[in-house]
Amino acid sequence: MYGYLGKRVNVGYDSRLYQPTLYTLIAFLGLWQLLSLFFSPRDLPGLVHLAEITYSVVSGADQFSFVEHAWITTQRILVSFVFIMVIGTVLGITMGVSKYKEFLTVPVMIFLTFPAVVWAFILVMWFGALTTYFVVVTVTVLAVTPYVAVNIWKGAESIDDDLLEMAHSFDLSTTAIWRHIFVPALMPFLYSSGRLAFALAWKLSLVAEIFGSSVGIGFVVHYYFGAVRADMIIAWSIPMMLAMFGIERALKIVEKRSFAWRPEVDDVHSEVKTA
Amino acid sequence: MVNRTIASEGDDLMSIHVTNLSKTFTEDEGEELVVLDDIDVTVGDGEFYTVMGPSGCGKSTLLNILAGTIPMDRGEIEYAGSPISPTDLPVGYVFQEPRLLNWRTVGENVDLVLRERDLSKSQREERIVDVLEMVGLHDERESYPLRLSGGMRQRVGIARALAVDPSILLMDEPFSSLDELTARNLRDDLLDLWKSTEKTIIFVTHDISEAVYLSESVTFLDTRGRIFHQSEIEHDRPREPDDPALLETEAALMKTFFDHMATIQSV
Ligand SMILES: Nc1ncnc2c1ncn2[C@@H]1O[C@H](COP(=O)(O)OP(=O)(O)OP(=O)(O)O)[C@@H](O)[C@H]1O
Ligand SMILES: [Mg+2]
Repeated sequence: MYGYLGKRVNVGYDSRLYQPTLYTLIAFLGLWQLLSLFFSPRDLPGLVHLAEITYSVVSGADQFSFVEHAWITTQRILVSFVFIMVIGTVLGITMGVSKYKEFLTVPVMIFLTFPAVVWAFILVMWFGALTTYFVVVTVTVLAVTPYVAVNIWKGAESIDDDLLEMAHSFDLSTTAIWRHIFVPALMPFLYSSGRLAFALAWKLSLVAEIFGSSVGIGFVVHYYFGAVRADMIIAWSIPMMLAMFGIERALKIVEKRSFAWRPEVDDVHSEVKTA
Repeated sequence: MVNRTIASEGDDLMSIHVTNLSKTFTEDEGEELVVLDDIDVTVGDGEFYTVMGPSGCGKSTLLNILAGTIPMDRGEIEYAGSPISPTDLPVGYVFQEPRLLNWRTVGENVDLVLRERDLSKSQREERIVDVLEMVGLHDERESYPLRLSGGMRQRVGIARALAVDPSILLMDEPFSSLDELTARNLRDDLLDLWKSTEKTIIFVTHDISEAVYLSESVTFLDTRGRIFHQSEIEHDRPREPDDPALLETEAALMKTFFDHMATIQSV
């Protein structure tokens, strides 16, 4: 789902490209509706039924308070996001420009391959499932930070030595070099990392909540998993998915504005890199 | 071999004397690469001084040392009659590539090198306007570099170097990546600037006709890191790029160059 939505975001505001996107969306919803005819509404709800239960969830008619659980999940995502970006950026720059990179590259690569579920189980065993932030945030940060670090690392490596030589020949201060060369050169990578971090933080917080929390959207999803209610799982996920989609899109627009210096918008740097 | 006549002229107060300059790089495999081997350079005040030599002979290294971006191993530099550290030489550097910050406008790129100096905002403003005027880019102040042509970007590079009001302009093959027509325009503009500002220019090029067209003096470096020839170019100005007299000088210099390369290769 994310890949599909992500693609749509990248199209930006070129209206010619909206049309095909719209067709795809209609085709997707049509297919959904068609498939739902062959399943019980509890397994795969039709569009109308889905809209109804989603509305009931959001309006607070469900047995779990949407505001309460969504708020907790949002806080966890935001807190994780801040940690991920700060730690990831510092690690990435260190890997890219400093002599300590040899010490960091292998550990970061190993962390990158470590499944989030394993983190979740380990941390729940060590710290229990009752912490409000600690377990979920830690799992998310541990799982997502390596992606950001690698992304920023590539950015730091791509900084042009010739520009630094120019800066030295004109006696620019270290502050000026950071402000006018390092930070702007890393900007595209910071934006793409930020969007990636948001998308992954949302998914992984949910995974972590399923295993490690008694509150939050992941917890509710887990409850309905136990109750064998696929329709409720989907209904609980949709509002957050839409919110994440909106945030992704907003970030993308801010990003485009800040790159007015580029002759034409090229998405090479800002493409989300999950590899 | 080095021509000392300029040094002996007493009125060249702001001349540069480099003596016994050496630089050796240690390559990744640990091998020593002698790039500059005990060279002496004398550049008179306001002179247009060109350094020529084959690729990799150390021309950029020489300029980088004068700009203070890499340290020399050995040698002395004297400027205006007293010893000076290369980091204190009043230079502006123009590179082969424009080396602009693509995320800053033309005006901001120039302003960047002014901010580090003790200048008021209005003084900076005046400088920016001045130098952009000098290179004919006053209308492009708000443009981003990537929207300009290669020749215009190189002009911004020149404006930036002029902005710090250096007595010495270091230019490392500044026109070599431009098409010939654009390069010719820029060369003429550079000569006009040189004449009006009376700056000392130390210019590096591969291109013998460019060297003869522009310079008062041409110095040849060889691959062993030594200066093996220096010529004064005495043709009257303004010069014509395809003037047969210039072509003759070029041919004579090329012959000297190839003869020398043949002797060092046969050793
Ligand atoms: N930082 C460095 N470390 C090791 N070797 C270097 C370094 N900088 C330059 N060199 C080597 O020193 C030699 C001279 O380099 P330099 O850039 O001064 O040559 P150049 O005359 O400017 O060549 P070109 O005409 O190709 O620009 C080259 O062989 C280069 O590989
Ligand atoms: Mg060079």
